[in-house]
Amino acid sequence: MPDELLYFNGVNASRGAYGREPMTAAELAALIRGPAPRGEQVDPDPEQRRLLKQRAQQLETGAFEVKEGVQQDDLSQTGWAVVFPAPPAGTPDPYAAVREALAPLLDLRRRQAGPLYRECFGPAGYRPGESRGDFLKRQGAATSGPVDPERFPYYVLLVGSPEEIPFRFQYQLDVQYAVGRLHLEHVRAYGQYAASVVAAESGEVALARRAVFFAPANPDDPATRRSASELVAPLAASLQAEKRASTWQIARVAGEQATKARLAALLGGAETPALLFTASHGAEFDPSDPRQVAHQGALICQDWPGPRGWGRRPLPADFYLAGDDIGADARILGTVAFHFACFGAGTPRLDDFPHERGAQAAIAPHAFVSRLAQRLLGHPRGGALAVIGHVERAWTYSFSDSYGARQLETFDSALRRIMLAGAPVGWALEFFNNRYAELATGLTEDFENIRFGTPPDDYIFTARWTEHNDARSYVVLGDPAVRLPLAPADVEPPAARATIPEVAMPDPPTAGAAQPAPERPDLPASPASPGDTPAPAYTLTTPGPVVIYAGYPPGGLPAQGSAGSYGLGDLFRSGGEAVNETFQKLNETLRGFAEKLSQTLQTTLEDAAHLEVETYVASDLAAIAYRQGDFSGAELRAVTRMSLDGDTQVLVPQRDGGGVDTELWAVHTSMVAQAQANRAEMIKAIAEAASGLFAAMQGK
Amino acid sequence: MASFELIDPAGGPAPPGPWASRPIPAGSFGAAGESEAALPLWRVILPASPVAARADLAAAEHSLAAQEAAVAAAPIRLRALATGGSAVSFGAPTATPETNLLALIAEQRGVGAASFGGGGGPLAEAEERFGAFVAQVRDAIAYAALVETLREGVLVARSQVGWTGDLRSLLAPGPLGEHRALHRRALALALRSRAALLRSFGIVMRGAAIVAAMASSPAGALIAAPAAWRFVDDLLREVRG
Repeated sequence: MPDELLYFNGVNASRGAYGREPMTAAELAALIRGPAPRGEQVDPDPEQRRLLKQRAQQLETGAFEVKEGVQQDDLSQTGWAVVFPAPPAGTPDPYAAVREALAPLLDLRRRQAGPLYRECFGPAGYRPGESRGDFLKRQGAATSGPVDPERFPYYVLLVGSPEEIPFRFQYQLDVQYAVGRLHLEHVRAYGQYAASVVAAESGEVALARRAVFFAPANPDDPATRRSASELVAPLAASLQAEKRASTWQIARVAGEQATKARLAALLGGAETPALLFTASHGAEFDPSDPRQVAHQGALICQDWPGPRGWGRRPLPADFYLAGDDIGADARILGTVAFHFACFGAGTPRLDDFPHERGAQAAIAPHAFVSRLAQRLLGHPRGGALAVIGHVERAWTYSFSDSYGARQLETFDSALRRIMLAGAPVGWALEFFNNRYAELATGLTEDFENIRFGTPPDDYIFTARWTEHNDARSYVVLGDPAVRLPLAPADVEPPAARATIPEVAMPDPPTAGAAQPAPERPDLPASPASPGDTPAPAYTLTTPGPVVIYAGYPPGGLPAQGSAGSYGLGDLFRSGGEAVNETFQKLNETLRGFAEKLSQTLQTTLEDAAHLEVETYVASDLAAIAYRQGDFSGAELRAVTRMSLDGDTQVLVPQRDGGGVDTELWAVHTSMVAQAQANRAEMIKAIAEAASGLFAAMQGK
Repeated sequence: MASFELIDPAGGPAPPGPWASRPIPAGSFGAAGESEAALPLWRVILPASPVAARADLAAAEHSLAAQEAAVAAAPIRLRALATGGSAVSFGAPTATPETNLLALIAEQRGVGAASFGGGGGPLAEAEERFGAFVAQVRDAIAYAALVETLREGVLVARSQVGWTGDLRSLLAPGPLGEHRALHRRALALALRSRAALLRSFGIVMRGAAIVAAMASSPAGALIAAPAAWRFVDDLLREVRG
């Protein structure tokens, strides 16, 4: 079993390959363990590890996440808090406009929570780099044990980008509290979300009791075939079999039916249910791909012909549903969506996958929330109330291992609580937090056992690790206190989905808003939605609330001048003679470089006609002055000379006793392959360097 | 523990990958003539244990991949900065490439225009280091690269690679398949790093155009190139940790 290949969800749409190639449990276990296994690999914060252990113990003793006597679905008992990023001292709060836009929601929660309502705004907000413990101490709350809402409310809405309030803080706080995050692109979108929640909770929205489970099963793709058959099918069946679900219509849209067009109908179209559960690949992109921020986490549908059918080519937007595909006419008000997909909720800047020697790869220029979720929540006609999804990669492996021990209860229980108990989504997600605490505790012990020479079975270890990551990284986007606005079971719901009135307010982009993704010119464009108005681009002259820097000099921020910059203009406008001098110097340096580049390219035309690979052997390598091209004293053992016209000459090494020296020949042929690959790579790299130089010279 | 060195006649910064950039030590090339000193030498010193050597090379390959991704993301992060995007978080307690880039402006504002390009501040340093970076890239395309693999200080293989791909390798004799396999991997790492270095030049220059556009610089992108280089170099440092 340790040799069985594990498949990971996620398709790299930039390259048309799996985001992570399949590997064996033994290989993955080696990566997770690393060279020096320690409990810190589960969470670097010892206080957090203690909390996770405590939470796991509470589960064994039947203790609850909120102190005894508090009913988790009653805000007057649990309280409700909103947390904004704290601005640096003495600077205007860039979130003031967002807070104002959210006022209807804040007023509603203030009325519901009464004295247990809390706003952490301005200096009381989340401070950069703060841990969960430090934040709670500052708020006067206990950092462990069941939540006491009188000290800090149980439901907590974080407002801000994951660069301002990190995903890690969200995971950590979520262990004790019911946490959601709201980060939208424009101030108006916050107003639209607030209006949506208020409409849903004031009886203006009454949805039919309908849940849809959407599951592509792409050809030749083990990950989606397993999620369709081992997650979605049993989950839908389990809910259908539940007595309390007799008033529900539960449908499954799977395999060939699970197309992009069908998903569009389920997300804002005529078929939009109260609850939509999707299990699919999430699109991931290279950090250099201009589509990344806009499309990462988009849901890959059955339209993708699978890894063999499509090959290693970039995926066009026709294969996945992204935020751009949710048109202005979509009707989504009141829906709760749950996306089992890589990056379905968001993307951190560094990946969570284990690497040898702890090297983490930068997978994005900055952490961000999925644009699809943002579009659904902040929709102008009324948004989804919550999107539940995964930050970073989701793992098919965590719901079904080779022992046949399916782990569906976490999903099943969370969905039952949302659909059938009418519970707030943040409370329903506690099943994932419980699982996270339980697995983190076990995993910490595993690391310690490895350290002391008693390693667990690779398969169990990797299963626990993936399940732990999986459970930890499910997050609620939106207010964690929202619940499905269902029509009473005996009342026919309105035929048409309700909408909210137009929200009129200034609409500057908010902190962390990114530019719309340009479509790659070589790819088919996404189908345009009628009436869809693209979000306005971020203009340079807009007062940008985000660019506030630590350690900025006493003069404060650079002024946002008429040139539309953040003060960079002055750097290059002032200086007079000194600038000229600098310019001359740089110009000289780069001109010298350009001349060398030109010579090199000219030489290429002469030299590239052939490729020569020679392999020498010498008993004393240090004695050979080969750097001058003089290999005197070394024995030439193999030569390959390849011409552009295809002629190839080879000199094969012979052993002293006759016959080919196969070992040396193998080395030589691998050198030939490397030389060919290197030539192609270098020509490409030089072309990129030249192109960059010319672009700079032309000011592009 | 393996060591990865680029002995760089241009005295340039550490290129993408696990490499530490070192100047040419006097007389370090032994019997070789002075002209050899013009060639960049990529030297990989591996531990005796094959398992440790392979693990170190794998870690180096991962590190290079992470740095390649970071460099590729530079224009995006610059554009995000230019448009007030989220590359910079509120009051970040530690310096980031974005804050460093803007600190260049702060320095210029604080000490006045007369110091532009002069003195010993970050701007002047960036210009100086950018010059060395350009020289390093120039050498990478002008000269062959030398790659040496050593096990516990003993030279086991050397290769000389012209940029058009011509390759001459010198191997220790005998059945030393393991050495040879490690050298092949070290060679691939060095060549991939050299290509990444060249690509990073293109990215710096494109980044310079973005910075210049942000600044509406009348002097064009060239004047912004050192700041853009500093930004890219900071991205590499960020990933290296």
